[in-house]
Amino acid sequence: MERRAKPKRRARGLNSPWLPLPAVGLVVVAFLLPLLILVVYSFWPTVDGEVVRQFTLDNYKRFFESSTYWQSLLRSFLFVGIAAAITVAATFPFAYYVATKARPSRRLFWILIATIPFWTSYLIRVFAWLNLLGDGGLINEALMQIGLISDPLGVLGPGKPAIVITFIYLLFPLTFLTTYIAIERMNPAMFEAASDLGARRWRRFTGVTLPIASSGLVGGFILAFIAMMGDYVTPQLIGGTEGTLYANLVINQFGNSLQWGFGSTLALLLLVSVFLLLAIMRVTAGTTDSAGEYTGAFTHKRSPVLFAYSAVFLVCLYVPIGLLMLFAFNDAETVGLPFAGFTTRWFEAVFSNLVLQDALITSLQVAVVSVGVSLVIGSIAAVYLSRTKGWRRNLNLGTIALPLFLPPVVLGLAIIIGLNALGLDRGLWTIIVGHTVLTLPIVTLLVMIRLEGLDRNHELAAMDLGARPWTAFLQVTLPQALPGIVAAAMISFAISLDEFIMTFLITGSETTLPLYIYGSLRFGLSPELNAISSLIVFVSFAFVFAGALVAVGRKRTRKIGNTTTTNYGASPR
Amino acid sequence: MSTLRCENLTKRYPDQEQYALGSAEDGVSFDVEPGELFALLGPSGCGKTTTLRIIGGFVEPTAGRVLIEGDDVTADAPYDRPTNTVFQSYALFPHLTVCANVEFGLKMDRVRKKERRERALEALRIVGLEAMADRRVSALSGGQQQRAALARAMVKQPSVLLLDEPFGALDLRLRRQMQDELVRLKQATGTTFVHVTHDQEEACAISDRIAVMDAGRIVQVDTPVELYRAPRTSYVATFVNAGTVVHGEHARSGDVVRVERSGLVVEGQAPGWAGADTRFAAVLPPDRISLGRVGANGGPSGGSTTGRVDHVTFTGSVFDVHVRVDSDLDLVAAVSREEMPDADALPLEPGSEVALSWDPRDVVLVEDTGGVD
Repeated sequence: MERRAKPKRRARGLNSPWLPLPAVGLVVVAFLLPLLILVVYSFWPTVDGEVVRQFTLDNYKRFFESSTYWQSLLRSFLFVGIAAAITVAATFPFAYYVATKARPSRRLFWILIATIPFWTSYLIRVFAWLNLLGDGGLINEALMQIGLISDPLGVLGPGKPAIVITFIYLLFPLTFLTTYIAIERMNPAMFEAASDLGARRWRRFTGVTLPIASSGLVGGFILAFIAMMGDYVTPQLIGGTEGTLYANLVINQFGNSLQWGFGSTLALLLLVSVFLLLAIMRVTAGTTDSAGEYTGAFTHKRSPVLFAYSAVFLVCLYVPIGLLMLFAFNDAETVGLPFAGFTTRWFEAVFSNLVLQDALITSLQVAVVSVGVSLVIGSIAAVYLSRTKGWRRNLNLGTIALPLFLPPVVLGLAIIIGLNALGLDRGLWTIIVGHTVLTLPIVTLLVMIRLEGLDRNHELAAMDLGARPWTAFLQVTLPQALPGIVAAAMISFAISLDEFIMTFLITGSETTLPLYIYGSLRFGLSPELNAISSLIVFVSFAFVFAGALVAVGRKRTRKIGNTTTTNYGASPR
Repeated sequence: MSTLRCENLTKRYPDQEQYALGSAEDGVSFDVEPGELFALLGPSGCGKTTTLRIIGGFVEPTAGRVLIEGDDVTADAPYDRPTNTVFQSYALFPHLTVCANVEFGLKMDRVRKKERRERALEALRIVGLEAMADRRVSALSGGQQQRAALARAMVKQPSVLLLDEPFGALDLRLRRQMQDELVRLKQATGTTFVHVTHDQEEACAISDRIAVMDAGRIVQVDTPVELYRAPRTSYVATFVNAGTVVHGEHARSGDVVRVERSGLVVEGQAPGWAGADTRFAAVLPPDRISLGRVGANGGPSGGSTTGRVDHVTFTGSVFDVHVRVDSDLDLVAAVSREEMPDADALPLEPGSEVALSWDPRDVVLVEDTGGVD
């Protein structure tokens, strides 16, 4: 049937394919392009510290002919695989307890308590374990003082448990959250159904719980694996020169030895092998998409064993931080026993440390600009991604999310190689670009998830009441998405302030806070470092608690009168 | 002029072969008169919500036209149409107060703040929510949210107010109460409503006319009484629960139609619309069937059969006696509380044998389109 021709007035603005362009463009220019250059470099030889533009397979030959390199890769894979598996296994009972045994009203508390340490500096958490396990650390000192041993135990060394312990400590929040989310979605009625059908406790666990939680376990493993594989700081700080993993080997090529071509080869092989592993895991583990809608249903059953485990777990989580803070107040020149009396002089030293203040200002500048840019272009991309389907959307999403699935060390290397190829100098702007690429996927994904979770009918209702698409979006959708955007901003901000692994590579002469801390750490432990760390921990805690208070407390504030009250506080549940 | 006219509407989604509404040859057409409460009734997937969304402008029809007060609005976006919708989930904006929700549409029309507030409060007063004006939406109960959504849609005084299963989420008592309020509102404001529901009781209780839909097409448009009295097809008869539908061999001689199956013969008057090749099924309204002892006299003459009582249900006003007359047919006879025979006169225990009789004039003949699943 013919319809009378009438101008089309339906606006298509909100799913315009142009919206994700700035975000995709940034990833392409600042990451994919450099990555491509890295691939090219890997086929170029280095002569006298300069890459020569001449195709050769020498770099690859060198890798496979000298057992040092491929064995290092294999050993690192094995070591990191075991470390990631232990992290997942150690986290599981705790996540299981919080998701199924803890009362729903207390879950937020458990989650906060468990993840707050994650928002304190990465380096500081490594440092906290140095305080405990290092040769001059607490345990060795104590054991020597009571005369049990005469020399330091040397728990810190190549392949020693100390690296694994530190890795667990660093990455446990990632595996906790992924596992927790997978388990929380299980409907308790499912366990009742399993028992009803005759499954005993162990069968119920292996037959129902584990398969459903497997997506979370695998996800946590992968995230932990990637982070550990790209970490060249922890192994070196904790394990010393002999503790180094493959990532250190890669970095060294760009350091003193100036083997850029070969370094590119090593980096590329790291990337390829990580992707191979991911592909294999995906094929063999499959995907359990979702364990159904989150029902919130809850049947309370005590489990003293799990509770005890969780309690010990949390204690282990906080002991290093607690000790770190304690020794910030110790009136002695070195970190360690005995406790020589209370002082605040280390804090005074921090506040009068101008270099430190400069570093903090640089960090804040980087964080504000990069998170600001991420927020704007990421949110705009999320608008498009949340309301379209199909290959075009998935291509956009995949491109933006890509930096999330690569070790940051590769991201950093790609950027410096790109700069080198283009003849550009490093500087503050390179750090900002790097941090933007790093935080962009996080912002985009978090905002997209929030937008997808909103009821599309609200926008339709607004249009039904006369609002044009962009008006409907700005007046109805955006206010509701705001908690997600704020959360994304806070998380990205924390990540940017804390980023070391990539920043170390792409900085020019600028010193950010983590770079400063790293620089100081090389001279060994000092009470002043403890004081800085304590301050950072305090500030992180204050931020998280303030955020939680805002989310919970502002729920009921409202003004009575003829002015419209808008309340943008997050509304949990 | 009709307030709303739908002409040959069809909808086929790009990635689907089947039409969601209408077919390649034929679309959905109907007229809604000013001040009418018009219902689209049918099971889920019959196209009723698609029709409503096309009227509201949320779905573009593949073909066909929508005219509101004579204007073709088919290509207009929702915000350019004189329609407002009460969504199934209400879709109240959680970040705004009740009053701000109601004011939203007026704000879009750039109505001044003071007038906006006054008109919103007036709409809230009509639905009895004035006291809740400055509360947050989340503070409202289900029924109150329903009313707030109604006030929000009503305040712009749309030409047509669209209701998408508005009472679906409410419990039975509240649903009845809201139905009454809707009828009262209609009488007080003269608004034209189009109402989508799968609940035939609700549709019959409040609507002036009902369009019964099945598989993307309208089967019959009539007043509730007519739908009960004279359903056109066995589908409609089953859906509005007009009586027991008897499928079987059918034969027509003159005006008399005879539907026959194992052990049961039903005769009745052929309806005027019937053609020469119409396939018939017979409908026996439950309240027109009399129960008696086997072999005893009395009751209407003309149609009769015997069977064994399968079970009896009590619906609050009548008893429905389900009598098995053959392996896959239960005839239902309704007996009022007063007329319920005592066990000595006529035992109605499961398995008891009873006689059923009816007047052929009460038999409704419909086109046999199969049953409703």
